[in-house]
Amino acid sequence: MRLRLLLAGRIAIAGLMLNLASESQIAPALAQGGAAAAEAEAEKSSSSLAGLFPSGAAGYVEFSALGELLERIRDSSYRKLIVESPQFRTLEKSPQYQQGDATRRIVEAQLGMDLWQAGKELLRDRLAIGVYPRGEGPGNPAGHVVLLLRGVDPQVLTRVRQRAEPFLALAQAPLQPAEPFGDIPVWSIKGQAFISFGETWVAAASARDLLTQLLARQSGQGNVSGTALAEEAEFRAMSSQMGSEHVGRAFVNLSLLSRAQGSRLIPPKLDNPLASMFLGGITELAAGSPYLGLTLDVEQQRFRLTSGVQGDSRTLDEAHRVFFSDPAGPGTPSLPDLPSLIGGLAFHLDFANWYRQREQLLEARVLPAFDQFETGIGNLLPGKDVGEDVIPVLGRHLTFVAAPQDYSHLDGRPGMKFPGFGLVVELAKPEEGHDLLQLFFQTLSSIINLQAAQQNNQPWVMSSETYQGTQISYGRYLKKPVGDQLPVVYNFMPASARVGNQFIVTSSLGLCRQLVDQLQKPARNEARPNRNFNFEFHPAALADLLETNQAVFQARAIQQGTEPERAAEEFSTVMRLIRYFEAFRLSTSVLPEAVQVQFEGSWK
Amino acid sequence: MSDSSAVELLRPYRPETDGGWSRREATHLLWRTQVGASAAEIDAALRDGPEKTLERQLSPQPESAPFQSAEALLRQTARDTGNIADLKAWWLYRLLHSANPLAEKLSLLWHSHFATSNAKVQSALLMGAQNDLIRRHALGNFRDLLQGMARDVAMLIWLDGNANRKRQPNENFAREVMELFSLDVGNYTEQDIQEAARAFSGWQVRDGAFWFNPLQHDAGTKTVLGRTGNLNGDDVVALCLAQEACPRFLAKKLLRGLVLDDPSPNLIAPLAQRIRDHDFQMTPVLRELLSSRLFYSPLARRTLIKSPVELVLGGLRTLAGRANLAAAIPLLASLGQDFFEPPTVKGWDGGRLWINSTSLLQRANFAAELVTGNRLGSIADPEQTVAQRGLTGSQAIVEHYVELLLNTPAEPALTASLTGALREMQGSYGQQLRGLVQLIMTMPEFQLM
Repeated sequence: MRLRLLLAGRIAIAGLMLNLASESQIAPALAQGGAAAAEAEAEKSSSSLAGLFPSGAAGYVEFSALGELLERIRDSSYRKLIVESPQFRTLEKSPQYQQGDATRRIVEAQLGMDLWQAGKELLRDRLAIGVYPRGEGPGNPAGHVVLLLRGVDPQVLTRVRQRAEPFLALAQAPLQPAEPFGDIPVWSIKGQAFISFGETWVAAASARDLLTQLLARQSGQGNVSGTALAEEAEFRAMSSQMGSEHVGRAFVNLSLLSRAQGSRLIPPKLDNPLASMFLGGITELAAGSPYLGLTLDVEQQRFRLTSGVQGDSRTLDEAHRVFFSDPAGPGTPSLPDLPSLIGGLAFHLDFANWYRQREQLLEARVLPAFDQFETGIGNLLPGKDVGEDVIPVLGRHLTFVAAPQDYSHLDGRPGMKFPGFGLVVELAKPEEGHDLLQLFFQTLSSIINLQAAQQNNQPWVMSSETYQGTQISYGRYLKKPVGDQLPVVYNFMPASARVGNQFIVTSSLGLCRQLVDQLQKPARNEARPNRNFNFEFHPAALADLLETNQAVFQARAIQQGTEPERAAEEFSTVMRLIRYFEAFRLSTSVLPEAVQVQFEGSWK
Repeated sequence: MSDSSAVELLRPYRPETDGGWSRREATHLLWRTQVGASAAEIDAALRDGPEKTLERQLSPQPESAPFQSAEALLRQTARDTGNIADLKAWWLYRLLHSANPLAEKLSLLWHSHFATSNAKVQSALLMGAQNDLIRRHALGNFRDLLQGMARDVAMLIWLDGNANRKRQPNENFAREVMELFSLDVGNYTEQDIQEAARAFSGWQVRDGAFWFNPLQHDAGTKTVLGRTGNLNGDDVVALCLAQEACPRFLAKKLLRGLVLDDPSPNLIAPLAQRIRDHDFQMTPVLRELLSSRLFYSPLARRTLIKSPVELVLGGLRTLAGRANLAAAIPLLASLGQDFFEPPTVKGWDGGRLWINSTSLLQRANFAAELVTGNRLGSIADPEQTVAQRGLTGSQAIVEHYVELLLNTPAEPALTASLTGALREMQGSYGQQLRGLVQLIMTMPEFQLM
């Protein structure tokens, strides 16, 4: 009965899970924040083990029906693909693997079943582990551990227990009877761990009082002191934001850790400009959030890992607000729908204000790098100040895409094919920004031309065309290079254009035209989920590109001593492993009272 | 040494009367005609005898299908990436695995002779094309090689062909043709160089190919090496080849590269005459040289210092190992032999200059890393080798490895010393055997071939 309820719960959650191919299915999943009261109720009535754990945990992790997931992994074609790969066959010959495998066989012989089966039987319902501070105030916040395993087949539990006991004795850690809890027997291992078995459950803790509290709630016997973890404000806040029914979920009590440390967990200033651009806002919110939550959901052909922190980005100080789009707004644009898109990244950042307030956001020791950057860029844009003239023309959204390259600038193909790249920069001041970026683009082209001359490569001249009413500037070789194995340098031929307030720079004219088509489509302005950051990756498109460069990868393996046939076999296996996956996405969503980071993937 | 004894030394070596055909002679021949030699290759040479073994090295052998496919992949990658390191890996693979190792070894000798560096050429494609030219003629006619080199694009870039113009001749190429490629210092005058430069004017590169620019060619009368007329580049090359100094210069190169480090003039002269007699055809010259009594004499045995490539790739081949060529490239460079990037226009001087206090330490470290690590590849498992060859007892094992790695019979004192060291080594049996191999590879004798 309980298992049926669980499955029903997971099916309901699965309905909320993101469909990477459809934006309309994504939105409901992100709109969980408004259903706080319902979630709190669900937490109480759910079969989550958090209601049995004592409050005060620094961290808590719970898995539901993990055995079923293990069984799917065991039977999956992907696992078979890995196990049959030449790389795995090599690993099998290593002494470390053979030692591990021998240990596995001994354990399996002792248990009378293989480890997959043992995992499936033991983890078919729920497993939860909590870590608790050792004493009050500063100290080790993970000083004690509590574990509860529930829903085990009674016969399996008995067998595992009977067969594990000799191991414990062998390890000089025998089970000794301790004071029972009511009519529930308790055993002790050297007084350092306490364990209790029911017909279908196992409970253990490194402190007797924690086990006692757990058993009191589990059995309904004795006096229950204090509140349960599920009733704790921080835990309830997480449950209301992130839901309570998942294959796995983890909770970190940031308030408690902060108190234990006696200061902010995360410094207000970062020491890496790139990390600041992408993580500066989330780390600031996390520093004030009562919790850090993590959930894992797995469907038939998808998974989603979600991490969340609580906080309203609109209430942050001015410097840290630059990282977040308005929760009520559309967020970053979706990635352009290019044919065979390999991957892309779009993110929100108020560039001008981030740059202007860098002293509030970054450690002083990294600031000189900005001065060097300004000097370098300044050489390419004479008479302009980077902070005052250049950065302010940039808007708040930047999109980068990688897609198959277009070789219309050649009479042939390069021997080694790189992906094409495109960058779409939103302009706060379209006219001024376009002129400035065009100047930068032309200056850079001239420098590259000089280098080409030094290396005996073909020079290019700047040309332009009008495409769909948009003027595109692009490079054109004076004489089209001819051949099917042209040098690497001929992969790229830059192009640029402006569509409204969007400036496009690409590595080929063809890709520039595709982006112009996409940016001119009115569909881009339709409603979409609020995302602050969105990275997508399509492995099959990457595999297509890698396969066109197969010779290079095989040659690299041969250079390192691999036999030619083996090199081909290894490459083919890696391609099959990559093609198994359909898509991955890493994104952040700004909600009115929280920010969530999601990593999703789907496979065939 | 008298002239007549020198001539006598160039007569063919007859195993039955001149000293026999044992593993020592077989190993000597293989070490000089390829980089290193595995025990199996030595077994085959011992079985086939000197004539058949040498003929196999001199005549074109069909390459195996796996070699052809791997070689093509490596070459294509060098072309595709334009990365000179990939071209180096391709050549190392050829040196190690080709069925025509002497052609590869001679290509290396001519690469040093016609030293051209990618540091200036900046093109793996052109360096590869020059290497193909060298290999095509390595065992062929030196005349064709020199003439081809005068039109080679990488060479023209390296020696500033495009700057050699009618009114402003650039002497770089003309000077090197005489000094380094055919005659040696002292066999021409400054006037010869200036006039030869005029003959090569207009030999340029256009769109990545050789181009004769008639507008920049000096068609006036020149006098080079005693001959006057409207001479062009081909005439100058022919005049150089016609000089007595040319075969003498080549004879010295061949002797130093393949036979002994410091050949005396009366050894050079008869070989130079044979080069002239064979009209610069290298295969018959090499057949005579490598089957001569001189080649098998004590003057030539274990008297050359191994070049880095002979040490590193030779070590791997000798121990039948799997080579990580990508890791070998920087090691060779640090030991002083960076392919496609010779140190000067003179190439690598070699000989004693391969070894100094730093490189000797690096050579010892290489031995340790090869035998005990896996960064440079791996050697065949010594335990399996010992079992396969049926070696029983420490003495037999020591004798096997001393013979394989040093090509010398194990003297009783050395055998006793190494046997004692083997017994005292710590670790498993396999580790002890590896320790023995490393110990032999760090002996001064291992640096010789």
